[in-house]
Amino acid sequence: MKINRQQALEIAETFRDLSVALGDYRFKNWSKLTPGKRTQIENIEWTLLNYSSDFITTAVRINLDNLQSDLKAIKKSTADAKKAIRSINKIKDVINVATSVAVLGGAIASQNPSAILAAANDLITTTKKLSN
Amino acid sequence: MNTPTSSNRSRAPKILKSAYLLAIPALFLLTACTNIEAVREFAKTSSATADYTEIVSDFADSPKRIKRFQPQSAWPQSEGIIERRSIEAKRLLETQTVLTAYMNALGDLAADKLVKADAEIDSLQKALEKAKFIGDADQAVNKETATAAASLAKIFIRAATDRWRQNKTKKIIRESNAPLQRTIEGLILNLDTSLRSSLQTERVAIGKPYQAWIAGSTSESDQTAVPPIAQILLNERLDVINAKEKKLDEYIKILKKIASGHESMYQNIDNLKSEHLIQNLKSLSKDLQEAHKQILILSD
Repeated sequence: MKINRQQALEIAETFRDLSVALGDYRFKNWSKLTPGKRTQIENIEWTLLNYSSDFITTAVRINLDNLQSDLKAIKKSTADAKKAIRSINKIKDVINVATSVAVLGGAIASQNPSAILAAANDLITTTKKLSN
Repeated sequence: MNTPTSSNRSRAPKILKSAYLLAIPALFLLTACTNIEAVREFAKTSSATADYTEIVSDFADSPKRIKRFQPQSAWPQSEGIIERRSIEAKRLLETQTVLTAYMNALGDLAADKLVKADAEIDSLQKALEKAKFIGDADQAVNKETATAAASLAKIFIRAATDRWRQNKTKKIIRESNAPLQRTIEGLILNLDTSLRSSLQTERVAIGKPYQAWIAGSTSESDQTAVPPIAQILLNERLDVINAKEKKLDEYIKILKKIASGHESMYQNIDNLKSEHLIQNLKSLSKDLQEAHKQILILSD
């Protein structure tokens, strides 16, 4: 049987409480316990506390598993928003192409070879941007 | 490319008149649609404040910090936990990233400058002037006509793109609201219960060596030297955890405000420029900044 997030957290809490209770016992009875017994109890305390940590991780994992389809939907919305921004920017790119065409027209009219070359290169660059 | 002719020039005022007539509905459209600046501001503030990765690091590193207080015999078990925690921390970070990326994209889409093509049209006008398509020559459109046409083009482009942009924004908010609310709710649940629980486990772990120190000294009849110092040091360590928990509280506030703002946009989807919504989003943006400021203060 698989546990749910809430159960995982409850188990984590139970293990932590047990570790605290054992610790309290060890500290209260410090002088009555032999060093060997103290070490033995302490090791159990840490094992229980580690189990507590692990069940907390399990609770997070179960929660994240449950969110996956919603995350996918949000990712899609993000992609849609970015696509819409790109579409709007294309309008600006089209105007930029028109600008490059006008510059090239002016350069051709001036019969200046270097100006024609520069304007043609600029037009190619702007058009490439549009097709991307 | 067609060059402008003298007949073009004589037709220009007529074209301009028609364009002005067309501009009236465009202007109406523009005033009806513009300004979702409050949406942009809220979305951008949400994205910036939700992007607080330290909270995930606190969660990821908790078992590593616990390990420092453990005897070596507990280390092999701890190492497995550190590895598993790190995997889930990455996924938690990814959830946070999806949320911030969404709010960021929504903010970009709602930005006023997105629908303005003024700079591009100005560049086009200048290029046309330089190429002598606009000017005083016989075969050119006169400058006043071209300037007026450019002004109209700016309005037309803005009106058309803004309308389209607003419809897209509405669609995106409408489609993402339910998954976004569930994701934020899930994230809050994770942080409010699991991360808080993790900090509590850390408190217990930190306490153990200090309490052992106090118990050992007390059993040797030392009530005044070691125990008070051990208690002071323990309290200092616990203060660090308390500060992490306070930051967690502030971050949860941020997430709740983001969920509330998005829900508010969803509820007012057909009237994103309503004064009530604008005021609500502005107020939430301020709250987000305040919570973020508190986190920064706590981090100092």
